[in-house]
Amino acid sequence: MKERIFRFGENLSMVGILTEPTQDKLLPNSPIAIMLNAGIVHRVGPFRLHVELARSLAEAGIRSLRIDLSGLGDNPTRSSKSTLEEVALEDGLWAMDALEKQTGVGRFTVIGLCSGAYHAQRFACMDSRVVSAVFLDGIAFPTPQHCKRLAKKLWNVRFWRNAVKRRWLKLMPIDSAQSAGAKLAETQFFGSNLTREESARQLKQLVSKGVRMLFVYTGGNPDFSSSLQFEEMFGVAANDSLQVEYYSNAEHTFPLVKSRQRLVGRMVEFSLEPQLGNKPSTKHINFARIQSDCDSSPVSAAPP
Amino acid sequence: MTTETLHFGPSSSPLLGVYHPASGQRKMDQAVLLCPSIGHEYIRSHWAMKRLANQLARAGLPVLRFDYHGVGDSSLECADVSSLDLWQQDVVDAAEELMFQSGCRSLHLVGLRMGAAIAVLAANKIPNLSSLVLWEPALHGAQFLRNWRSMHNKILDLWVTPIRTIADDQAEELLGSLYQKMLLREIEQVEILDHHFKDKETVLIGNRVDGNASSSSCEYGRKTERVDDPDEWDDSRYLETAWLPSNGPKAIVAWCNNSGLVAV
Repeated sequence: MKERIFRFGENLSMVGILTEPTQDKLLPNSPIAIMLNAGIVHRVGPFRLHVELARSLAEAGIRSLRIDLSGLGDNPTRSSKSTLEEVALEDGLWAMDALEKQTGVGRFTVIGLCSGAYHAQRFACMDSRVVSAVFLDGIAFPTPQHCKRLAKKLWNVRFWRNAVKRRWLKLMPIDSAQSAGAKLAETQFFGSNLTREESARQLKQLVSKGVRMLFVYTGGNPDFSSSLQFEEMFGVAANDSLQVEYYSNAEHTFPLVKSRQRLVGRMVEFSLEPQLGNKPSTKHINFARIQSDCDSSPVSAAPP
Repeated sequence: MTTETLHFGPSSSPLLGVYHPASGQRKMDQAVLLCPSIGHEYIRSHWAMKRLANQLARAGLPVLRFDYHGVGDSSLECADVSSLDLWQQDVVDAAEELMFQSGCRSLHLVGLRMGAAIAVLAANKIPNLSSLVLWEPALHGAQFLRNWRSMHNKILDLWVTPIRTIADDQAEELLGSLYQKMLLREIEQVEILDHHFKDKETVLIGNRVDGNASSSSCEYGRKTERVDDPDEWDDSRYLETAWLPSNGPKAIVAWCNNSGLVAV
């Protein structure tokens, strides 16, 4: 595995880290993964998620690039008349152009968490070179069934115990209303502004284009409570090419080592499926590292 | 502001750095090396370190910020690091790289939180060190770890279901990263104020530096400067919130601009 600094964009002013497998492991036709910022966290990802994923992908033979969008991490803010969304889309386009030019590979997997998932969804819709995508806690809309499921939590003793502790011991995580940094992130980098109808339309467009997708939602997402909710939200059923998983015991940014390892293993597996005839395989994955103490409720087509 | 992202250090396990050349006329033969904190604190303070580097560069000082082994974009995993010696050597390698990039003959070493402790430990191995700036320093390693463990346990206690994280004879998970027990034992022994810096100017800058530090600061030629910045290092609610100080960076720029000047 080798990591090198990858320059791209106008006057090569943008920087990312390209992680490449050793020549003997390289799967030359595999799409190159591009990881986008999660909120305002720089390119290493929350709790170094992107670094761990990049290195695991390289072990499995897949190249990846982790980047900062303009104005985030180490990349400069661009003074242009474009909106931030347009700038982000252009950043992604530049990254793909440069990767295609340097590697000769013009197929990509976009990966993003939270705001990164929103951007990934837009990239996938915009550019036909995106052939697969991983959306981590991406766009979600509460449904009537979701509200019913939340109501069931009221019978859970631990729910009340935690609620009381958080309130009395003042242990609520600092949210965007209280944190200047998070506020900035929300206003400048997070806003999806997508309606459910528009999201569903985009999703169907991606399905019709044959884009493979993996949606992972966590228990840390207040708008999502079951893998069944995906179809409730968008009217699209999960299948081999559109996989949906719900990790009820994982937090939004995967702060626990084991849940992060499990997620990384799952994303590597998803990336390898086309190489292995669309059958998830453990061939390239060191599952000894992955201890499955995190609940997950996959509704994607189960592997044999 | 133009920066250069680069790899340096051992070719088999390179470190990632970002070099900020001085903008405009360089005023002195000095550069500044920024030593970040570790774990979640490294991520929380990334933006602050970048902003400080830009401010120093605008003040005419070349700057290098970098990631230790097992941290950020540098090689290795955190769980691979068994001793503070490795991170001390990273500081030494980064100092060499900064002198090479900038052509400067002397350095200011600025360490944030546990980065301050690592900077102190590495200081004697760096020739021509102009001054040490200990920013929001983790003065007592044992206290630092006690606070981290307390935060970690609070987070687990409020998990949606009862959950345990890795904690055995070899390794312990703390706030998102896995640490070797050998490394944690070394961190527990860290006592910044036990180090004497007879020939180095040292300043402690932060919210908490006027307590234990000030009593001994005169004796050992240290200076302290208390600044009001967000003091939330031991608060689990801020685990993932960017730390955005405004007064600390101003004090550091002023210090580096005015201490131990060497005319070019």
